[in-house]
Amino acid sequence: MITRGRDVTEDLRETVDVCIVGSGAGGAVAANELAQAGLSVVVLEAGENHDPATFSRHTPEMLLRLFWDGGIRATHDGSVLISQGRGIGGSTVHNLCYAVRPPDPILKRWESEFGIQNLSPSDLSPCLDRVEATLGVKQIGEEQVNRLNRIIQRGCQAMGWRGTIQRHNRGPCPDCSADCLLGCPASQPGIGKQSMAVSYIPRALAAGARLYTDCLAEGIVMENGRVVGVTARFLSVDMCMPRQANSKVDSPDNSGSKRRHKIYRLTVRSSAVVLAAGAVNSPQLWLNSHLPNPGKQVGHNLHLHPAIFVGGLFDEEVDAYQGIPQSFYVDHFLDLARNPESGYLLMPAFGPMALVAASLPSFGRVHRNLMRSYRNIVGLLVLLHDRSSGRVTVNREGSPVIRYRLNRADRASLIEGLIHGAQLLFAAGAKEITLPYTQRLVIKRESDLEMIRQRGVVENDILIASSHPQGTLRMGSNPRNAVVDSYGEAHAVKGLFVVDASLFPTSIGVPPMLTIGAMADRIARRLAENWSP
Amino acid sequence: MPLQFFSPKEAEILTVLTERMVGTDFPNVEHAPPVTIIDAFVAELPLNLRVQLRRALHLFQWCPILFAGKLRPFTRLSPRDAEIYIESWAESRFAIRRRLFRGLRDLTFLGYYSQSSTDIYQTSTSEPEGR
Repeated sequence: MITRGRDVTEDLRETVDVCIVGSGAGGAVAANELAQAGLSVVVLEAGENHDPATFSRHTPEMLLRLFWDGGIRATHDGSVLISQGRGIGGSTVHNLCYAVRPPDPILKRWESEFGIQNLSPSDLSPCLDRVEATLGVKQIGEEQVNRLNRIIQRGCQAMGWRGTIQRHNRGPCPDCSADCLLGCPASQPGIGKQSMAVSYIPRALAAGARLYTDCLAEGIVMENGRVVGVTARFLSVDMCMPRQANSKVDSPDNSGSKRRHKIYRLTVRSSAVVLAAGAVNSPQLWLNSHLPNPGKQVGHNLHLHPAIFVGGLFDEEVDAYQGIPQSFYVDHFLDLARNPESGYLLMPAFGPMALVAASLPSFGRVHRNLMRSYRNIVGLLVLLHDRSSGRVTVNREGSPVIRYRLNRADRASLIEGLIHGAQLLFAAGAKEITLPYTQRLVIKRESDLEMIRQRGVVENDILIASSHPQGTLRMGSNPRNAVVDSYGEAHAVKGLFVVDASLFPTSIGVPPMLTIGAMADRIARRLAENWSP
Repeated sequence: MPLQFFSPKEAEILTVLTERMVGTDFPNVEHAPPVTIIDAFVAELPLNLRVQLRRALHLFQWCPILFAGKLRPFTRLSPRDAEIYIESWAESRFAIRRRLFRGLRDLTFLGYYSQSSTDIYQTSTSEPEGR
């Protein structure tokens, strides 16, 4: 059963076995596993219950509906834009369906360096199998590879680099386009994007889980060293985007007059709480709840997979917005067996016109002339497996503050990635390369690539984006440098579990959705097996 | 359509800013001026972001005297002076000015390029119907 918070007209109370905060890649899987095991489960989701049939092509509307802060959440200094999903299904509603298993060297590193038990590739494999089966993960067929991906594949082959067509959690999708990034209107079980909203959540609900939307968790309640529940408030119809915690709420109704909304609250009493609100909001909730933080690690160790767009202008019309946006990627520069700490992927990237506009340099006539080439642009992202580490804190209002600064080695890797991306596009036939600096660099031949080294990667001089924040409540056996143990339970708070990307001990280096789901499966099953209220 | 967040004066600044950023005075925008779309978008953002954007807009409007030596606000600059002024933000050695440039630029792009009636959209897409 789903209850829309905006329809609630009184304070409510719930008593359940487990309360889950968040319904994305981690929360949805945990909800299903725990409900299937017979536990009573309630899920709190700050966003809405999206009806894919209402997804529009209007970018501003969809940014507001699907993303935290309308898609313009950023680090404290504005240098990295961070997109995080909001609503049932979380980021799996807008992501582009790469279903990639965690690299073996990363799992081995997590076991050896962080003392995590039973996390070898073979240990995690059954969890991954289950998640893949539920999400309908399949290899993308050659015939499904669009021109954007085909051209990048061509460039990769010309350079003699390694790249592969990936697997997706995607069913047949006849009208697929770059608007996939704004949600898939065809999404339903077996058809279109197989987000958590159409896969795990319906299963969890059928097994008895209850879900509240428009419901913002504000505090985790602890007594005698163990969690006993969560407090939350319902967001009114005019507050689908929460504007400020604890603020007086005045907002215009349809007639333009002002009316004050009473804030209704939800109090959940539960024996266990599962945090699945993502690597920014989960530590935010922890810190706002003033929970113990003995190792001072809560909010630390933030990794972002920072990514930079490289555009190639081609003579031919590519129409990159048509078809499945991402199916192939180049992993030649992510050799984790040799170096598990660094590297980068080159992956196709395109989007609705307003987002592509933001990825091009300059303004005025220069920018407009580039936009005239919209049909001829091939875009790719350099996605960094970052060693740089940031931090999430909260300000006086309780809102998250995200600090992150690239270290020298990562800046060098990004520059190298930009050059390799440009070389790939030249090899595929690009006549010019464009990068999202504040001003246009004219790069028309290989010898011009030196300009990238000279310009470098400097904060707010080049657009850096992140879709994969991770690591702020990291897993490990040592409470001094980790927040949760090998099975996701907080070292310092009994009954509190984490199942989102917060628990990654390091950057994972690849699209994280499948790993998050598998970790949630592993943790939830263990919790259910050892259940004692 | 009434403004939801910005004042009429702020809307005027945004309109001029959008023209300069986009490089056109919207000859083919039929449904809603970009400023209406920007205003509706910003009105839904969290309070701290709305406040930041409003401050940024005013800063941008009144700083030609500081950064371009012009004794007039941004909206009264000639197109050429406005271009030089915007460029001074884009190329500033101060990260905060570059950040503000990018934030305002991308907001105007969101208002302009999210419309299907713009000339570039019309000549650039042949997307399937159905959404």
